[in-house]
Amino acid sequence: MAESGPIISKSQQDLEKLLDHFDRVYIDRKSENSPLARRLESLFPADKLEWVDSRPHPQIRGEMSSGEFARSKRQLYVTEFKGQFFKRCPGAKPGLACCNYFVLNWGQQCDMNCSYCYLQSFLNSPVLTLYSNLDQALEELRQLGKSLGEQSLRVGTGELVDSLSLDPLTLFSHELMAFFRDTPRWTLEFKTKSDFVHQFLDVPHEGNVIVSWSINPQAVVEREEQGTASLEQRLQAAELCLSRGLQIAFHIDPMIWHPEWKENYAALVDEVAARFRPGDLPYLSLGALRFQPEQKAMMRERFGMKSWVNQGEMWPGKDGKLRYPLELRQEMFNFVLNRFKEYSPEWKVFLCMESPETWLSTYTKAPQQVDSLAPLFDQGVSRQFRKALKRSQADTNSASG
Amino acid sequence: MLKALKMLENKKAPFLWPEAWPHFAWGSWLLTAPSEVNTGGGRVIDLKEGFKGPLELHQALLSCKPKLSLLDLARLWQQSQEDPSLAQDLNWTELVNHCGLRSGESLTQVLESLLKTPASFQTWSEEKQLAPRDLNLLLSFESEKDKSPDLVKTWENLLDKLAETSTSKSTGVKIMELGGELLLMGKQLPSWSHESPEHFARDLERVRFPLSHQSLEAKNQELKQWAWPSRSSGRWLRQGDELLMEIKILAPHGEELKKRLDQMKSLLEGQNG
Repeated sequence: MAESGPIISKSQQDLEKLLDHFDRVYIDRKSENSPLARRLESLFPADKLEWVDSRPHPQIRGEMSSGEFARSKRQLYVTEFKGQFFKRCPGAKPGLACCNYFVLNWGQQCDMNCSYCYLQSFLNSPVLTLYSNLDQALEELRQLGKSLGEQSLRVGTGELVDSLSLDPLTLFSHELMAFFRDTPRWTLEFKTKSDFVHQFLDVPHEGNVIVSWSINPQAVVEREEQGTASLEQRLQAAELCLSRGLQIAFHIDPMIWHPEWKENYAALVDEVAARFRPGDLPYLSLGALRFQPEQKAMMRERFGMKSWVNQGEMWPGKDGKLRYPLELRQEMFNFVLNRFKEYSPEWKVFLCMESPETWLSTYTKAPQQVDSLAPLFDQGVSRQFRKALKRSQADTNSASG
Repeated sequence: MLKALKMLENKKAPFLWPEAWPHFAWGSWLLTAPSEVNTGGGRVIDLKEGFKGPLELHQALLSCKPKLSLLDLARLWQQSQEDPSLAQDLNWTELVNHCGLRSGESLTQVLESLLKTPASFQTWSEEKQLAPRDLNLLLSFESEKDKSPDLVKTWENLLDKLAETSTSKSTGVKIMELGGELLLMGKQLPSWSHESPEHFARDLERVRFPLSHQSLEAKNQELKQWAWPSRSSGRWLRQGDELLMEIKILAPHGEELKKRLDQMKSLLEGQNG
């Protein structure tokens, strides 16, 4: 009872921050009766709200200018999603070692501003879009669940939008957690750079919800991750989640080279190791800076060449993305991995979006052969899921045809 | 009274309309001469009604000059911003789509920046048929104009030099990228006096990517210490994000090649062991 006071207050602060963030909120009339539209209508002042029949700014199509991209973060658009909500993580490509992660996209664009964000080369919509038909996404998942039987699966929501930075507005976490309460063999992962967790701390769960944070040294946060929670705020939010029985995880991703990178990443590992035990985290992933060559111009224009990301020595990798030289990536991964292992060999650290060659040079074995990581890379589960997904798609097509 | 389209101003052959040909217009817009005087008072054919049916201004323009350069588009865009009657007559989106581009703020910003570069560079960009993505760096210098005029001057000198040395498109774009980024990082550019553009691009790369360069140099220094079999050599090369070793073995016949390969194998095993 003593805790409820400050928790409500933080939650209200988070919400007010978001209400202030958006200049305009457009709601598609087709979404009028959705819980999301009704909630936003009750929260935002009337002069920020506009009911529309189609996407705003139709003249903006295709590649956006840096100004248009920046403005899109402050314009919210609520509409129905017409495609398939549920898909495999983009890491599941030939040439990359993947960890059986599947994504559920309930929106696109992010309200925060990371210099390296891949959405800069991916999005072509001048508004931050949230989908009002989350119920259909959950129905899609339900159908897939029937095909999968007793298999376990990890489902994340932080691919095209941060999982939690808008959650005080949408409260999607409540619906998702309620759904996953009925499917305890599946794991739901929220991935965020915010500290917005207070709004779901009291929602009951079955212990199958992971709240994960992308973390970086505070120097990197300040320089490259504008509008995000500080490292300290993220770690505090993680501690709070852990205290409520939620699982937590960290992604030290993207690691960013800068002159003091060793000191700063050492301090980051020390901080994590001092505040958490290996058993507190099901896994911890590492990744190094990578981005599509097409987004370089926008990054340069938006964040300038003083940004460590823009100053990086990037070369095209086999997948076409620009990456640090392989030998530098290996040095960075080994440095962090060894630092964790110095504390305890029990830390479960894996590499995200890396080639098998990098895995081998860091671990001397493939991911499926690393004992502590094998369950994350069970290819049998992955294959079975893909079959189920195809069956579900075929059913949907024949039903609609 | 006919109005000329400024896109043809100060153009050299082959951009000029042949003198012996009659000139074309669309309504009040003269399409094939930079000014009415250049028509020499000869006959001007109005394409508004067309030969096979009515044409819109962009269609008439493209029938006279099927391939428009970015410089053409930049000048047309600028004129349409200054003259509302052109903006009204010209279907900009259709014109740009026909050129394989997408109309939007990102394109018009590049076009506007192009017109602020030295005239020599504008001509070079047209000759080399640069695409908008090749010119994106111009936008990063736009915000520097008020803050650091000296920096912008150095950048413009670099662009001028590119045009002056008739640099190829690929090397020129590389020099722009590397040189521009170094300037924006506040670094000094290596001197470009008598070196070829390709040599200068390599110098720029060394300054822009010092860590990568140092690690390649260190690896190659190491290789020099190896006891190479006779008439064999090796070097490290950067290919994308990887360093790869290239080994060269010369042998007069198969037997000798086999012998040197065996020696090479022992050498490599010795190094790895």
